[in-house]
Amino acid sequence: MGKKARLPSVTKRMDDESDAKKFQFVFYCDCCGQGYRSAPIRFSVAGTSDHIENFTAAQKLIYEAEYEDAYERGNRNALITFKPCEVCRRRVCEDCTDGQEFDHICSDCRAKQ
Amino acid sequence: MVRFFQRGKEVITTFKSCTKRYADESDEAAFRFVFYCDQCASEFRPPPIPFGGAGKEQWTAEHGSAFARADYEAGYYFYSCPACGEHVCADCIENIRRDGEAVRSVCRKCYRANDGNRVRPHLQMIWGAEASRPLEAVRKTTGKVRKGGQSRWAKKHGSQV
Repeated sequence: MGKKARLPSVTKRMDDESDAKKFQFVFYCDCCGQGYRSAPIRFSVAGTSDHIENFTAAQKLIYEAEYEDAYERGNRNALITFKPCEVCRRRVCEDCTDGQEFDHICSDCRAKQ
Repeated sequence: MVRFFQRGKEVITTFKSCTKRYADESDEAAFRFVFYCDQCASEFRPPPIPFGGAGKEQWTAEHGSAFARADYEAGYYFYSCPACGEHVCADCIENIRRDGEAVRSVCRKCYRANDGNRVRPHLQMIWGAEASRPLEAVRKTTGKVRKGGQSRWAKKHGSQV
C-alpha cells in the first residue's frame, strides 16, 4: 500500500501522553468516561534530550514510525477493553454493562428500555 | 474484495481474514467489514471505522489498516477450535467434560465427530502428550509433522513431536 495511514481512535475521546522517551495513550469509555491508560512503550533510540524538537532527522523518522505502531497497538488493546454496546454500538467499559457477557448493553440504553 | 482503478488499471484487493469468509462493505464514509462463523455462518460486524480523509490514495492506505484492526477484533470474538483450527461463534462451541480432566472446548463439528481428543501438533505442548492422539494418526491428518522422524528441535528438547 505504500503510504501509512493513521486511523481514528476506537473511542470518541483519546488523550496522547507520549513524549520524547515513551509512547502512551489514554482511552475513555464512551458512556461513563472512565479512562484506560495503555502500557507505555519505550522509544527505542531515545537519547538524553527531553524534547522532540532536539531530535536528529533520523531520530524523527524513527519516532514517527514507532509512534504509528504504538498508537495502533494501544488502539487494539482498547478494542478489547471497550466492547461495543449491542444497541448504540458505542465502545463501553465493563462497569457500564454490569459485566454481562451476552446482553452487552450500556447503562444509558438499559435506562431507555 | 474491492475493485478500483489506479493509473488506468483495475486493481483488486483481497485480504486474509481469520475466518474463511468475510465481506467488505466499505464506502467513502466508513470502513465496514462482516466476518462469518466458519460453521453456522452467523455474522459479526465490528463497529464501522469512519474515514475522515480525502483522496483515493489515503482511502486505500487506511482501508488496509482498518481491515487489520477489524480482523484483530474478529479474532477475539470468534473462538479458534483447538482440534480443527476453525474460527467459530459462541453458539458453535461444545464442552467436553471428563472426570479428572480439565474441561475442553471444541467446535460442534469436532464434538459430533468425537474428535475432541485430536490436538493440532503445535498445540500439543499445552495439553500434554497423553491427551493427544497417537503420533501416527496425527501424521496422517496433517502435513505439518516432519516425515523423517523427529525434528532437530524435538531431538534437542525431548519432545514427541
